[in-house]
Amino acid sequence: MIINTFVSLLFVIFTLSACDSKEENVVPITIPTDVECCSAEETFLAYTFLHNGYLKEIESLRDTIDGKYALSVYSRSGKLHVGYNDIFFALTKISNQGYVRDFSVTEITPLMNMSAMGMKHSTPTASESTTYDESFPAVQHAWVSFVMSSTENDYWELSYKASTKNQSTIHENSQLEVNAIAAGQAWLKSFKVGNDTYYLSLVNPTDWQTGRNTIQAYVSKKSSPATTPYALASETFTIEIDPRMPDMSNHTSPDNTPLTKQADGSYQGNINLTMTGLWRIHLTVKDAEGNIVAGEEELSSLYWDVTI
Amino acid sequence: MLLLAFGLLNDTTTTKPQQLDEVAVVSRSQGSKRSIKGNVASIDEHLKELNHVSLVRRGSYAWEPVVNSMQTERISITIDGMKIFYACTDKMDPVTSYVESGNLQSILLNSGLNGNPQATGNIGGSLDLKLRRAGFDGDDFHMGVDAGYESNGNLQVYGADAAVSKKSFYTNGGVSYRHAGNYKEGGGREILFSQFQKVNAYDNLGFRLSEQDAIESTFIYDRATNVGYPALNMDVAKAEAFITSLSYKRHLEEKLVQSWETKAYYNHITHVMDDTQRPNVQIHMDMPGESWTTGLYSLVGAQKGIHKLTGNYDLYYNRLFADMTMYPGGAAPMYMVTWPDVGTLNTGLALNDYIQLGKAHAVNVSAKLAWQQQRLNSQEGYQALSVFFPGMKQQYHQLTGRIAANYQLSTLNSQFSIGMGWGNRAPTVTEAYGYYLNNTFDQYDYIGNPHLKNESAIELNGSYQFKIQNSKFKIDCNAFFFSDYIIGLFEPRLSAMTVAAEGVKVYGNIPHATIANFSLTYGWDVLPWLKWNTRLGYSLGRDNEGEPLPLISPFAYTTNLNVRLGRLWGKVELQGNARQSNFGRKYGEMPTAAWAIVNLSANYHFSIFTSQLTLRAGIENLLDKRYTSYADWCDIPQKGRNIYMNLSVEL
Repeated sequence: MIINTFVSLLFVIFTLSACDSKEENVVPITIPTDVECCSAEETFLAYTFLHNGYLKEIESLRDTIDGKYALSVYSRSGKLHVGYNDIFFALTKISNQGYVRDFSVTEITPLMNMSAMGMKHSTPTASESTTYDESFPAVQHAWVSFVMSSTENDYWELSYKASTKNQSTIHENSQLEVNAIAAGQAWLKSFKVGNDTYYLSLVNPTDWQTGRNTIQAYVSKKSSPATTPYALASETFTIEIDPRMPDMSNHTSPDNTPLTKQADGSYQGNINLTMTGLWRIHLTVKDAEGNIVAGEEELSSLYWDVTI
Repeated sequence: MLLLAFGLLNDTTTTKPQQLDEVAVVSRSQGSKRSIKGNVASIDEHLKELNHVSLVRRGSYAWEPVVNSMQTERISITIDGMKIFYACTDKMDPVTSYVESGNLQSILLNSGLNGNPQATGNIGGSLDLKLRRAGFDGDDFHMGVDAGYESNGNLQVYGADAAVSKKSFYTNGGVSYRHAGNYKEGGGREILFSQFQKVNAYDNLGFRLSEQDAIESTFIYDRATNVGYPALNMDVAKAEAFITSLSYKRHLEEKLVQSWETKAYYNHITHVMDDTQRPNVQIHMDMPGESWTTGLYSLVGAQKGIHKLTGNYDLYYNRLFADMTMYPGGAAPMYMVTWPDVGTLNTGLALNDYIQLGKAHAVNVSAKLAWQQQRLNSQEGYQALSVFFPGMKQQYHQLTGRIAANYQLSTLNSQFSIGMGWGNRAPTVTEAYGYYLNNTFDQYDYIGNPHLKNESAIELNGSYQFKIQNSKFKIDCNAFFFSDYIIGLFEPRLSAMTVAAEGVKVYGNIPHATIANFSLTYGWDVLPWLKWNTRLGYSLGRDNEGEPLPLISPFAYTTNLNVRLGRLWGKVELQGNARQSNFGRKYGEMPTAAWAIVNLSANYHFSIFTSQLTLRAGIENLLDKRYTSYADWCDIPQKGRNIYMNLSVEL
């Protein structure tokens, strides 16, 4: 009880000092005692996470479930770019503004409409959301790795299904703006093995700093038909990395470890960066038997570019 | 042994001449060892006169003092007992470059481990640059003006100083300006990027509180701009230093303690490298460095029977930071921290005892113990270094010490001394935490090693001096036997960073190394007005595999004839080196050929009314020989013929 009042007080202080005063979702001053809704602590953590300054809402993706719940979708800076993007979902109960704890977002389907060619295709996606952090279940996480940017004639759309325990809604295709990635960055590459196309999506390399970093990526396979979201490749690969600085006579760092498949389906390894600047991460993709399926051994032509 | 501030509270007075130490007298009084160019000579030119000292040249300015064939890492350089540390990762700014001859009274050299209680981490020796103070017993008012010119490089030097000395107050200060263009090697070819320019201003104050105690202060500002370094890939836009101190001195009449001085000080150096003057720079780089030092020492002098004791406690905190930003055309800049903002806290206790055993013999014993703690304050620098040393700590501490003893025997015509000592030193910030520092000597990038062990050495030294009729001979030798000698070692697994570098070396300890130095001096007073002096020297350095170490002098000789006729004094000198056959091939050194040059100099002292004037002139490298010595970084040539003249006036 005392904790609740204390957290509410913190909330008031937080609201009054919040930078973004244009926020439409008014922060609740009282924490509702509702089974569906989060506890005070969970609400506080969810709120601070969604308002940490990095995330912003993508308003075109907003929706409601049955007039009772409001779903908000967030990305870094409210923008989307070519390659891997984190997407966060938060569901609030309209009546009392409380964050809802048990909900999920599924059937996440991005679609590219190439009007000139009359063609549509999808992109590597996490089709279902997962709880981002167990200490605040109010926030669900998914990701989409866009293979290209939107242009004048070619546009992206996204649809999803949002469900609580009892109700659900289908959000129909909303148009999205996907920007090209900045110069000196190339976080999405693809390779072909026979008739199959695979995509290598590098996860958030701008989080890296000088020193030792975890490098994470997803390997997705192009679906058939191509309008279905591209799921994670079922095969197990090993992605060997050779990070080089092309502006520095291909200076490299020691003790980098290849990306190997983890239990959750992502690929993870270690990358050491000796300084900031442009790093070209040359990739040699090997299959489960150790045969090279993409790239070459020395200074592979398949590479990610990261500028930190 | 040491020159102490005994007796009255004016500047240093010599108690007795000692064999291990040498003094280059910089100030106005005629001293036996000082540059023939007199007051306008640079500090480097005064240092050249000292027996155990040689200088590594990277350009025309800021040469690095080397004592007993050991560079900055293995020696201690202090200014009036104050610790001061250079701020450039490429050693473009040894601390001797931040003062001017006008600031100094003398330069005191202690060779090896024995001696200066204020030196920390010295194995090869220690240099203390003693500042010039008017004192309470000088002339009421004194003024001096100096002007000098040298033809090679159009060097101009101007200086003016003034001193006021009263019973209870003194002040002396001055300004100087030094400017040179590119110099020419023998044969006339211009050495590009060898220009420099420097301004220096200083003031000292003293207030007498009573018959026995006084407060003194110092302030020095030194600023060099547009300095070229032909041996390196970059020049210096600015090298600036603020040096200040405040001290309390007490002269006691007690039975035991005779003098006590406590000084607190602060100095700050800013050093900015510049590659914008160079053509064909592939990637432009910004490389600034900074050094801050604050500290205090307390020096006590006592006399008990045959013991003359000195005790010193010192404490200092030094912070060194340097980084590098590279701008490849078109792409994003690359940034790295080259000295990871290392904070060093060091405290030490030293004790010296000079024991006069009898009329003819004496023993000097000295010891010091120091403890230091270092912390890598730059998180980015620490993380970068951790890539090469996973699991390394962010804080380290080291314990260092030294102990040495020396025995002297004097007879009517001879002096004999023998000494030995043991000491160790902690690695420097570059050796322990330096990050991708390019060394143009061997074209390798060097990375520091935080796991280095302290380097230690055993020293043996001896000298013998005797007089026969009108001539004097002296033999002087020393040898240093190192354990865990710190040097850069090839690391083929690592990739270089600097464009066109050969590879990477990481500092490591090699189990053993030896450095030995020998010199023979001979002086003959042929006639009352004619003296002939000769000096021969030789050094050797070997690593644990018996391979020669780099930057060790080959056989070197100097011989000169000095003539004195009334107020005119002249000198003809022949100076040279033999071919360097033992060169550090393994360490990237190239051999240097034999060379010899002839120098002429003269000075004339006269007075006009109450003013004293000294006119000096001479020709260095009379025959305009093109030559380079073993100590010239990347074999940059020395100056060709240089005609100089200068005038010093004292009012």
